[in-house]
Amino acid sequence: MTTILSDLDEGGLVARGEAGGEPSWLLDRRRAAARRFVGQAWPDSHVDEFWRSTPFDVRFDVGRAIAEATAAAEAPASVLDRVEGGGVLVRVVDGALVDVTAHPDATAAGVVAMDLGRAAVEHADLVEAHLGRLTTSGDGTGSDEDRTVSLSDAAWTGGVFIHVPDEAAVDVPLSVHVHVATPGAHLPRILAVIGRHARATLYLEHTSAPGVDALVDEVAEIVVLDGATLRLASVQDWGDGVQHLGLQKAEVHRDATVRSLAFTAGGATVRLRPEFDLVGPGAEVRPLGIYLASDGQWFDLQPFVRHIAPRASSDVLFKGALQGRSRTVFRGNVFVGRDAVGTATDENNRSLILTEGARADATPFLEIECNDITAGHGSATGQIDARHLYYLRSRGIDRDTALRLIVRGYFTDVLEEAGLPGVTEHALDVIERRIADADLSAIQVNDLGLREES
Amino acid sequence: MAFAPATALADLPDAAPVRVEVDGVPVCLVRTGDAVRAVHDVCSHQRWSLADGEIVDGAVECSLHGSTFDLDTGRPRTLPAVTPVPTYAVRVTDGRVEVDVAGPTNGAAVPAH
Repeated sequence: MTTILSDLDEGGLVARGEAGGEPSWLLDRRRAAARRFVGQAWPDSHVDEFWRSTPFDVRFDVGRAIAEATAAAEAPASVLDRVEGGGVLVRVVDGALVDVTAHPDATAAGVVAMDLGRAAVEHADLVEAHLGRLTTSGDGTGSDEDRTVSLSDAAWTGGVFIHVPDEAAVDVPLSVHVHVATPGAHLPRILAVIGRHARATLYLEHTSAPGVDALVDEVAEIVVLDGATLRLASVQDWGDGVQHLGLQKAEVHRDATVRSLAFTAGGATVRLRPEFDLVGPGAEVRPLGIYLASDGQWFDLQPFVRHIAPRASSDVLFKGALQGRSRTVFRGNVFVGRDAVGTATDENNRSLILTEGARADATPFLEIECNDITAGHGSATGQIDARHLYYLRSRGIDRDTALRLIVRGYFTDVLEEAGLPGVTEHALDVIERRIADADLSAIQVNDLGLREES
Repeated sequence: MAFAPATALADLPDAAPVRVEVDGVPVCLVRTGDAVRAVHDVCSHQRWSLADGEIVDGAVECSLHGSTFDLDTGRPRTLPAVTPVPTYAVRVTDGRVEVDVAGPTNGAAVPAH
């Protein structure tokens, strides 16, 4: 059965779930989402503020059929391979969960990592309570979602459920590795519930086979309950033919802490929305981002923090480097609701333009309904400072090595703070590779500072 | 290299931009008296229809961020746009407006968004 996304109707959207024998409450939710989908149009830059920078019809091809799971293709290495002792690895290939590698520490702590469809039966209470809760509105948090999310709600495949029980301290990373080997549309879905006072590390990895053209419409819902601590990473290592729509939404409860890193280096178009609803007092989030854009790539990064509860804090920092004819969009949002007294928030974006032709747009947005808060926001886009280059060269370091050091050093603070085993090493490798591939003679430096001092 | 019909002169209001499609190319037409000028309808800064804006002193002002583009040269007079939009040759024959979108008269590239 070929089901072109843009032609899908209610029956076509839920057919897969019905065939899979899903429980009736889940089928009802799929049907409700299918009705939303049918009633919605694809995003339009003229109508939707959040789509203003990225033309949906140009960057995303919805004339694709949902990819059918084939014989499991070989997925590339996971970042967990770099972690001593490994971790829990869930592999999703072409819309199907193919295997779960357990880890004794996680198993002992009671961690659940399994197929979402199965979890809807075996852990019905948790899945029914949380699945789709963060993607549908009605709670006043502003989550009125567009058609790309209704599509996931209705037709997701290759779902993964992660549960870390209350008070479990899990030091080994848990990773969901989504790999795309077949052309078409892919609809991965992740639900993670981190229990009260638990501690966990969760990675979302994204890779594709060379030369594959695909649209990946991904939704991850992450519930971080009272007092829990979560380290989160999303790694975008797609090949050149992949268009990625990613909503990764965390709900952060009382006194819970989330530190996250969105690392984006691969893909033709990546539109990533790392979102955080701070619904409990004292919640704290540190959304970090690194992006490396090269010729032809278009990254639209939209971290969104919603301060719903009082005395929560957030500090967003996204840093990127661009070369060739690439385009990045930082559309950061911090919303402070009327009850969020004592909020402390800051939001920053830095873009380093390495070569001519690249363009970085930045909108560090704030929306504040409460007057007893502190908030900051800022953005800077520029070139390598000739003074830094001059300093290194005056110490006998040649130009190319100096440029590499500067770019690497530019990202080091974010990587060190993120402190994610496996991801940090992988990210440094990708950064090194990108600089090695770059035409260092084309890198432009800004010598304004030098001239001012002379 | 060919003029193609765009619209009727009588359908163009004076000093108000109108969007038309000529050979699949979006064009912003501006009539001043009996003269008509044409620029590409997409702003060079971000994808937005220039015809949604207003005419200010011989330039069309984009309604999204306020860049103004000179109707004769296509060049932006104000930020945030920094590159020109293509300008096209127009002729009026028997009340019919024809535009040549094959080659911009100012050599500017079509905005790629």
